Amino acid sequence: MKLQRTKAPASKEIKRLSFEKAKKQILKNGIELYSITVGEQEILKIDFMFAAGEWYQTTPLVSASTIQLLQEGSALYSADSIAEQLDFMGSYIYFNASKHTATITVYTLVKYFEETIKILEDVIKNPQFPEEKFRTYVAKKQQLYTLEREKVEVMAQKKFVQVVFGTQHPYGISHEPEEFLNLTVSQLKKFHAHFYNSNNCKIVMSGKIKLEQHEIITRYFGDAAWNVHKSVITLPDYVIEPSEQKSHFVEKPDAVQSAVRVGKLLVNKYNPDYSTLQVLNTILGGYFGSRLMSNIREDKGYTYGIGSGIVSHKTAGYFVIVSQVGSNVCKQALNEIYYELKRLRTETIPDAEIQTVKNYMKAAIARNFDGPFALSESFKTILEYDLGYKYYMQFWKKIDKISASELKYLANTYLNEGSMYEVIAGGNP
Amino acid sequence: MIVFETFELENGLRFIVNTDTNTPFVAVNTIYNVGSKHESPNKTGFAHLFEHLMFGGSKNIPSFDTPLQKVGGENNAFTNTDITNYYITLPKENIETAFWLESDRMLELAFSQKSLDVQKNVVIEEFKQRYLNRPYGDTWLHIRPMAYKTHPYQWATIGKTIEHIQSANLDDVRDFFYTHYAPNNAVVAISGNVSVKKVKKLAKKWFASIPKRDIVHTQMPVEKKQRKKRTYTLERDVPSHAIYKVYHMCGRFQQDFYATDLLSDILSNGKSARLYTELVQKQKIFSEINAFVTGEIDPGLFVISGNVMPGYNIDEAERAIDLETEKLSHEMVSEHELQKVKNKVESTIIFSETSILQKAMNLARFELLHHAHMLNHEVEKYAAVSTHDINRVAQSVLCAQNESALYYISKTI
Repeated sequence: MKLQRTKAPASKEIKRLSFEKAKKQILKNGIELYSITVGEQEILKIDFMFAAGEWYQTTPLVSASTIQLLQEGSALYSADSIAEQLDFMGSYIYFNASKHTATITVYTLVKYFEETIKILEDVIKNPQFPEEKFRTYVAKKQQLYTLEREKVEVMAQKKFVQVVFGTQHPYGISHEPEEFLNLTVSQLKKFHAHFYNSNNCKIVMSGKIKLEQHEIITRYFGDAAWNVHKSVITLPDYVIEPSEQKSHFVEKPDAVQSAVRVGKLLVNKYNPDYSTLQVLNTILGGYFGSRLMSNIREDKGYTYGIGSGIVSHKTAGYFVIVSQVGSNVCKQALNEIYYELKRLRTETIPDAEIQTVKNYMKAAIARNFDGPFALSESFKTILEYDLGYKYYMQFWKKIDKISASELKYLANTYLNEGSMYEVIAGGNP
Repeated sequence: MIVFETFELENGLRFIVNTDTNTPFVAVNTIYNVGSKHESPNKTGFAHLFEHLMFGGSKNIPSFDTPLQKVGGENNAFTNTDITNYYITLPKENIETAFWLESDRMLELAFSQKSLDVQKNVVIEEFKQRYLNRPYGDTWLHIRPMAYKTHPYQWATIGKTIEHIQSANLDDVRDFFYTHYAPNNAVVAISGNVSVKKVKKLAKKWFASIPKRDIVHTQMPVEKKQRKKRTYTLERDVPSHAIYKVYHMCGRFQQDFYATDLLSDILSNGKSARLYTELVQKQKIFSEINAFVTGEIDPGLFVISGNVMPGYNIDEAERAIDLETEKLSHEMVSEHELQKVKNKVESTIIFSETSILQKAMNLARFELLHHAHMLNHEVEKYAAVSTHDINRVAQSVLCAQNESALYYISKTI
């Protein structure tokens, strides 16, 4: 039989989402430990999560700087010794503060698990914030921020969140290099003393976990309460204050490309419309075959890339279209962006396109549960939002049942092109 | 350790299969033995532009991406100086879609004028975004022609200039396809939840009828030994001075690669590495500093790059780096320090084996350019490096007559 090259081979839909769930255990001091036992390699990932993100800081940059400086010296180990030991064991450690959560992530070989955890115990519980290391950190960060603010995409993003949330809200604030100079060691020590304690900590472990690893974690982190003392930090009532003006321009003379942001405030993960909006967003700009990519890159060639996304923070979210386009075609690209937004509201999305996006999204969700590290990341998301695995199951069901009329209705409710903010950073258009 | 099987079709196309049942997905990686080093000096950037055209439809299938997305697949590609690499991951049930799509574009492209016109614009925007519109973005456009005088590594994969991309026409595209894209100039590696038997059946069905093509294997010119240090100064509106020092070294599959790679790790892999502890933390001359090897197939480059802190000029910055590299030539590293970087490499390799895509990419690259089975000997090769080897490669690589230095001076300081 002659090979039919014009016809696609038979394919199957992914019917069900199945994966290994995290097992919860409450340690003696109250810490919740979650373990996901998956994988063949002799490796582990451990996340220590603290409710200590930017939301909780009363001085700019304190949350991020506190976590970054944990590794710069503890009661038992100098910064050099921490770095030397972790490098020798081939363990990788990452420190990250997001809007609400500060996370210390460690990747380690099983054979070095205990030695790595032992160092981490001191790093997390007893950091010293040495003055000299602090000053080096401040000087480095100042330089890095000075470099970053030269980039049009950074300029546009900073302006965009400011326009959407206002300059006083943690989701809208961005920082200038000079602000590092106002930081002090005592601010970091105070922030650490208040937030890095066993009452404010959750641990997620994934990979090749045996009883022994449970015992080790319990021994170093789970027995007696640590760093718990009474102190009160009063946070202001954050109010979202969007800009009155819809269109904003940040000038960078001589830029050969302009960074574009078009978007607005939007619901977050807690809203029942969120899943459907994710489908709508995928159709518009959430995958390579999306309408924005097909039109503005693959048909017009105005950009190397364009996409859209919904960012969900704990108390609010936003929708944004992101691109960098040739300065000479910026106007045309914006026209096409609004054209595509309008089309979502006025035309019915063809069944074939919906089917493609359904299959694409289901596979994307399945990928988020493939392997120990992906499983742990997906679990951390629902843990941060107190959502439970049913969030993903409902998302899956929603994708299965999505209809063109529902999508059109939501596009009209949430994504009217007239309601969008527009930020351009680059050469004068 | 990655367990795999290989087989070859009559047209010369080689397959490698690693079965991994821990995942519901499969990765299919197709690598072609063509990179920017195969371009003509007057038509640079072409291999990469061509990679874009591989998504613009093939002989029997108008769109590559749509049918793949329809079955839950993801894909992308990259081009470097040596090779062009295309990869797909998709649910294991739908693996045949990947075979159908990859085989059709290996058979013949659609050669569409519209696709060429659009992708030229897209690549020009990529050129602007990555090389022209960000601080220090044009660094490699200047380093390569300084370090290489005869070898085609003297131009960056994106191309020498935007004009080269603009001038590409459909005849060039056709020529390029039939000169480089052929089953006998490619390897397909598959990792994931699929049996060797199934892959064999699908390989035969979809790829066996693609004709073998005459591939001209051009001998790459050998770069003449450098005798004198080269320098180049750029003055730009950037927030701080930066320095890039590059040294000639051996190719990826030559004996000394492993010692040279570990030498770069001693200088900058991790927070305990020498350049970071000495020049960032102690002397505070740099805000950031890195050493790495390009890992190219023909003799490549050993790179040291750093961003200078305010208050230091470029000479002071360079002197500080030179003192560190001289130490490596004059003094032996300790067994402990060498063991540390070896452990780190081993750990990196173990972690990389958790990803089916990473496995498929590595297997394909090793098979195309070396031998797939050598991938499982990497750890041993690193382990075999001695402190004497480190000292020896430091002396031969990190010396002034082997060096090209780019001084990137801030006009605003």
